[in-house]
Amino acid sequence: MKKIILLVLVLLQIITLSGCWNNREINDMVIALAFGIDMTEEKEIQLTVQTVIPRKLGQDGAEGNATVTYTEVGSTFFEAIRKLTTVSSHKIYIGHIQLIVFGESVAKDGIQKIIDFLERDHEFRRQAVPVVTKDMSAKELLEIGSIYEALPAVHIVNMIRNNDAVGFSRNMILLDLFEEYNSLGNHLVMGLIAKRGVDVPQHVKGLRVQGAAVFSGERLVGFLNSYETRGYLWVVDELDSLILVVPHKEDPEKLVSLETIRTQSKMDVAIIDNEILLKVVIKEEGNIGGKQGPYDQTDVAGIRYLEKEKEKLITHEVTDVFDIAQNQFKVDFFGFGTLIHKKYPQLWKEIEEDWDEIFTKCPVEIKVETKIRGTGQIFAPSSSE
Amino acid sequence: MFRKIIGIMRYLKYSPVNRHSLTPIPKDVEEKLDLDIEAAKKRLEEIFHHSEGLIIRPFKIRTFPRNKAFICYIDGLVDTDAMELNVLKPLMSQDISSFLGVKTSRTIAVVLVEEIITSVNTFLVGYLNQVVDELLKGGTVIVVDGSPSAIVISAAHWETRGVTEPSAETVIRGPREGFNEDLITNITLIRRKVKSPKLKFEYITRGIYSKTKLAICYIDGIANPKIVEELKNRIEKINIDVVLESGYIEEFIDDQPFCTFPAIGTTEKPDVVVGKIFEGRIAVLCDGTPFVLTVPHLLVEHLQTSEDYYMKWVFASTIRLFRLMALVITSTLPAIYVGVQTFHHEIIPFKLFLSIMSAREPIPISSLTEALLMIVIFKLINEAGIRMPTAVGQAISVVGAIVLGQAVVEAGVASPLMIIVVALTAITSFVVPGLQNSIFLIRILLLVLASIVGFYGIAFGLLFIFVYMCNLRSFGVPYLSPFAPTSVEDLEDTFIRAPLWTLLIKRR
Repeated sequence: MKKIILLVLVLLQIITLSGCWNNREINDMVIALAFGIDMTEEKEIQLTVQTVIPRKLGQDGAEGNATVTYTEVGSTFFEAIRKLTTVSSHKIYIGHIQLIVFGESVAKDGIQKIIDFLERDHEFRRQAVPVVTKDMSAKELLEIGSIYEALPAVHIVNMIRNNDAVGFSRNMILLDLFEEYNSLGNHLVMGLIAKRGVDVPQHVKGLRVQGAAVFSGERLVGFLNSYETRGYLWVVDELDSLILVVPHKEDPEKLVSLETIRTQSKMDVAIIDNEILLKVVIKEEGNIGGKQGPYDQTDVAGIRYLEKEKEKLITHEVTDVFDIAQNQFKVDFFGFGTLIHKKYPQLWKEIEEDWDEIFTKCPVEIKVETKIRGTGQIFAPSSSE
Repeated sequence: MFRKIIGIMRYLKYSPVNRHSLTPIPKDVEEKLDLDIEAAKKRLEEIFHHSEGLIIRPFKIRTFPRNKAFICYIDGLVDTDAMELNVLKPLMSQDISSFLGVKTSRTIAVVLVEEIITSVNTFLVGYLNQVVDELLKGGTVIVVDGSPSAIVISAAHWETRGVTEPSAETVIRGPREGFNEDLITNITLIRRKVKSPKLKFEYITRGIYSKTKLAICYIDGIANPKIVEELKNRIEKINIDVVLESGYIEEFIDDQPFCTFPAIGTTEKPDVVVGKIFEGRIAVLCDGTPFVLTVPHLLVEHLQTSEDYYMKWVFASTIRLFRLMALVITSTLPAIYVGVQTFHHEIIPFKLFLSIMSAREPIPISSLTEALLMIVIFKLINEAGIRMPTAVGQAISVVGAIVLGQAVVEAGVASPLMIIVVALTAITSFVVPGLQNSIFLIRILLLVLASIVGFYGIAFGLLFIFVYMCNLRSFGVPYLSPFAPTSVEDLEDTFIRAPLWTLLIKRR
């Protein structure tokens, strides 16, 4: 008798303890691939969502993309999402979202109101890729089709991810964004997507993912171009593989492309004579990838020369981006503030309020070590003579 | 209402351990054999009235021409050639009266057995019921006028199936012989593998009408005498009219008659039985069936096959792991699939999610219904395939393949992925054939739980099943041993099969 009561009690736990009650069949959901957020002129949030049309997915020879976009305006982000359900055929499912596009308008207005929802919601995928648009709205971006992929959002995400091989834009996921946004003494830098021409292109191939958007707090302050972005990535040690192009020793007209295979950099702060010194140490290793001109430069002197050139180029890129940060945007988007906070917590308490201003006056020390490990399959360039 | 529930509970507690025979087993009425031969003949004819086949042949014994005699047997059960040659011929042609003294203290029957009949298995019985029993077992009985006991010559002979390879337990490597329906042949098959007097067979006859002979087989000194005693006890208590198959015995001696897990093992192969009795188990052979029971039977035995011991231990261990994997897949895969589809969409990789979505899109029914439908269809086809005559079997498999593989998908009733899931479940269930029926129930249970509360339900269901299994016993041995209770040194023949030499050292 006792046993039966116990058994019933235990079985009841299945129901009472269970957290997830909402069982949903896959075909009763509209799967959102990408969110695009813009600010209307009436200061309302315009939400665009790219969703999958599953019927078109498995089919051979289905024309066009297997997606459809819905747009809705709401006074808040959450309201706009809920209002979207009145347009779409089922409730929108955001557990598999791939891409979050911040329109330039909303980036300039402030992204706190968006990030809060993204952080708070339990269903939202933290692996989604955030990106900022330039000279176009998020709505326009999400309505662009793709020739290669059935899902344009996936194509865009891949374009952003492929920056790993060149280092011209920032490749991050939503979780990194939350971390960077919330850390003290640091400002947000996000990947940038823009159109190649003047008009909004028909296809994703008309877009370029190069450069980065720099935020001061929640607001966009400006853009970095591709090489400046690379300078930034040198400092924060997010480069993986890239191509450095340096002039030739004998003939500056001819260029040598050097492939970087390993990079490592370290940021540090030091206090010297009551002044905060910002230090960056960059170590780079690479191979010779390609050479213009007939000169053989694979002897020790030639290699040393190329290494020096590489060093100069990297130093130049890094100096450039420090110049922009200190003189143009006047914000510390590298995160030196975080380092001071960790290393000199007492000092940080004093300077916390004015850190960005102090940052602009700090001296910078850049050390670059480069190495060439290999010359590829040949030594001297091939020649027809 | 509560009284009813308590009544049911009491019924559930019914187990062979604490059970008493509900009705006393009827004893045969003992009746002396009549001294008058005509009366004895009449009595026999009366007993076998309306059951044709009793053949009674009167004859005269050469040595004692004054005493009438008859020989009787049941047609078809007796080797008549041997009878003619070894019994009738010497009786009717030899005259040994000259050798016998004038006076002898021996009865005629004793003289005949000792001096004339050349058959090996010959003895005397004094009661009519014994005569009837021996006749039914295939004995030949000679009744001599004026003798208080009858002579029984046991030379039973009937057609049996040859020793063939069992179709349910085929092997690539290993002995191909299997038991047949004849108890003596089966015992011979075991004896041929173990040439030691330590191999014991104890006979028990069960079944009021069938009088089926059972043999309890074990190795003296290896088997636990307590378990042997317990087994004998349980078998003694069986009160049943007919024992047709060892399954009858199995159901009576099971520790938990309501349990869905098999607590008694069956096999058709002599080498398996010998392997098991050397591990300390006890086998029960039953006349009339090739299926031999082995007790105690543990869960881990479903992961083991006889072939594991005939191949290199590394490969055997690898295959064990695959078998374990199959066990997990076959019981949980449909539940996991449905759970993922209805609750945990986030854990599916994005690309796979897209393909599941496009496959699932035209299906009008919920994934639980879809899964149950496919599982039931498969079960039906499987069942039909077993019962079908072989000639029709192929037709069924074609229908099955087309129905399962194509039509269902094309009609938009089930998604291709569900077909894969059900097919995989079905294939893996054949890896652990002994557990098929238990696993089927577990699969359905987990499936339903998964459709209600997702993975949480699966976890809960598995927990429930494990706790239940921990409670099970097979002849007092925990069903999950050596996992629970854990015995580290016994684990070497579970998930892996340790090299034979380490196993053999321990056995000694």
